[in-house]
Amino acid sequence: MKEIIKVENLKKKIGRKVILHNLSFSVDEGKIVGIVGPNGAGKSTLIKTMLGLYKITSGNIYINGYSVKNNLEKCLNNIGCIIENPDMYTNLSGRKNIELYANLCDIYDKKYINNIITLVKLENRIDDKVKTYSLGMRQRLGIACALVLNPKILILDEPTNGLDPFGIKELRELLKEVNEKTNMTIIISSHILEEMQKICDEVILIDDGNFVENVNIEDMKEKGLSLEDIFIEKLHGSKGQLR
Amino acid sequence: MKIFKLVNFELKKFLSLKKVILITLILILTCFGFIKFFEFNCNKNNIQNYFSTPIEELKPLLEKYKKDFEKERTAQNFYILLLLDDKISEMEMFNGEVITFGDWRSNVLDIIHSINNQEYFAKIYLEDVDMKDFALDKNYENKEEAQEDLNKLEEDKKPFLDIIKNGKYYDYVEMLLENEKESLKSIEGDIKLIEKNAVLPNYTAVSRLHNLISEKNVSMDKIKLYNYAIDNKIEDSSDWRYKVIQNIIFNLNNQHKILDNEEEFSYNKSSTSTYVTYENYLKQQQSLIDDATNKNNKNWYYLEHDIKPLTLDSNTFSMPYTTRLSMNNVYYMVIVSLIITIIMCGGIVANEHKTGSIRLLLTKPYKRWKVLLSKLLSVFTIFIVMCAISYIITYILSGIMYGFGDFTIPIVINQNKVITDVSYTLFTLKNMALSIVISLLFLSLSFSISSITFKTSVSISILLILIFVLSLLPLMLKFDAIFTYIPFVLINFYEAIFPHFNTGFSNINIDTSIIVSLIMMFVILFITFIIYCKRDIKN
Repeated sequence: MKEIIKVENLKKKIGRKVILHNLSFSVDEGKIVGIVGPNGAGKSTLIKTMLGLYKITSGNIYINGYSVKNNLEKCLNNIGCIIENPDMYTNLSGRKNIELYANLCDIYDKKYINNIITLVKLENRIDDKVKTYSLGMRQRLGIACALVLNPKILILDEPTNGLDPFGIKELRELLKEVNEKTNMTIIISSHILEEMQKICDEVILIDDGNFVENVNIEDMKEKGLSLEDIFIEKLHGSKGQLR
Repeated sequence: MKIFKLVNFELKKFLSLKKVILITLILILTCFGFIKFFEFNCNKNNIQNYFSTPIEELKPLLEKYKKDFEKERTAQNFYILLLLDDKISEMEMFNGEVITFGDWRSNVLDIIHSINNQEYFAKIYLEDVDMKDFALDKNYENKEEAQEDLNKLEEDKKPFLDIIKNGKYYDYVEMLLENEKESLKSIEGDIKLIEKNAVLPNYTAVSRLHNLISEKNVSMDKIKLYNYAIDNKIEDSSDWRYKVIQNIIFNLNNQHKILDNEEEFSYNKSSTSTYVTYENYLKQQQSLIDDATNKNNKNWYYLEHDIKPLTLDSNTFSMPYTTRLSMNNVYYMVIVSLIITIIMCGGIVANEHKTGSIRLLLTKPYKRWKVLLSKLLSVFTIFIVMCAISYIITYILSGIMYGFGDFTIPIVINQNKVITDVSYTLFTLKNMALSIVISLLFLSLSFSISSITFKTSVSISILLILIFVLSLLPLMLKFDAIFTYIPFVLINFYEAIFPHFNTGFSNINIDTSIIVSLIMMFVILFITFIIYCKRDIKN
């Protein structure tokens, strides 16, 4: 299987503080991969660095073969993303938001846009202003905005933050559906282990900016373990208090 | 091409139909306000009437004063009676017509009034009234002498009354011409006398000679002017050339006499104390004279080339308000557009960071500097479109109110003391362009503050305070040449376009200043772009 994301000795310093220490891992195409770690482990920093929002201190990230450091534009061409809560232009309608981003990437096909809207189940409220949307609807609209560009990779940073259980279920189903239909690689960062276990094919465990373990969920289930067990076992030394 | 797509994105996101309608309405209202303000400003000198009280109110007053006078035959009461009587008969003579200060007949009335005043003294002397608390300017020996004086004054007044009843402006000017020729003769006589008798040059003689020479020059200018009015048969005040002539006379009469030496300056210190030093005083006086000369050179250019002036550099005589004049002031709308743009777009970068929507935009496959540049270009576009709309609105509004005037008449400008005429449309467009270029510097500054601090309120308040303070600056201090390199003062578009010696703007080289301001703008933007592209987007 093709490696679509490759992180090599990634180091990120913010001010004097080192957030990521020589992080290295890779992600295969078509998988749903979770990035899991305790609060402050560097999940968000890792994702923002992948997207070029943070500048790389040293090391590199390759996305679809392009270097984030030197060829960010080409990397971003393959990525759709939502970071924390999706912040849309709340004064505009949902449709207008999607169209704006679509036009920005040369997509003008109204039928295609409508298909995406149906996919995220927003067709009834799409012409209302975003400020009237609930958080779950905004989340789905954010995914629509990301999907409309037909990316190879979808990156979601803490997508379940603030969602009710029903919303979380909806999101999970939506992501699974997208992954099955388009073979899109999906990267999700979260600290809700149960959720990650349900949705991901693979989980990358990081702690304090260090790579800890790459867990294959199927193998794990065969062994009769849960993600929580592995999480606590691996982080016991430094984060024993978690118990 | 990519950048245009981004600009398109920004504009679509930013401009809703509601916003566009609101801004257009604001612009229409401000344009209307400015037009009305400038019209008022232009006409306010002509609004004052020569007769302020209606004749119907004066007549009962006359009866009352007559009774007062019968009761108490004092000189004071008699004087008031005479004054009122004359005023009423004068108003009857004009048969309800209102004479304004801009009317040539008001000048003749002034002469008649001064003669009237002398007549009152003779009349009071003849009337045998109580002279308590009243002093006559003239001391008559006997009644015959007073009567003789009165008759003589009546004779003097007659030609003026005839002119005002039946005459034309050039009849009046003809009379002035004769007077001026007489006084010129006496000035020349005096000059010869002093030149002959002043064996040793002393202060008094030299200074008197100087004054006489300047008086002689003024006299000769006036003679030239009167001859022009007679040759061209200027009939009344409605002729624009009348106003130009009055304006030239106004400037000639206002040329201050320079005190030639320090001794005399110290002697007159009480009246010249504002100047502190003699050098300062000389400089100030010379610039006043230069200014008057410049203005009159321009006025003569109007007459000689038969160009109807747009406006006159005078507080006393103004041309009627026209659409052309509206267009001349259109750059005031640039500053309005600038303020609206700063308030509206001050948060174009900061707000996206506040709401976090910038993350979504920056993760689209565009270079970061292109995203920032597109925001800057959108701000510029909104501003320039707003200026263009103001230009069109002003033209249409004042066209409806004052007629779509003749734009083929050129405008006369004073360029480095050389008077030339240029195409009017070109002139207004050039001014507009100049104002816009200066404004771009302010917009860039606002944009930079917003992009670096991520705080909308900081960028808006700094810029508004800056604009406010800088607009007041010319009132507070006089600019030196150094301000050429501090081009922010150019926000005073009016002074930048029509440099005036009073504010010292004539010391500033506008062309260099514009270049400096452009360089400054690029430097500010360059630094902002570097900082913005290197930083982590934390929010």
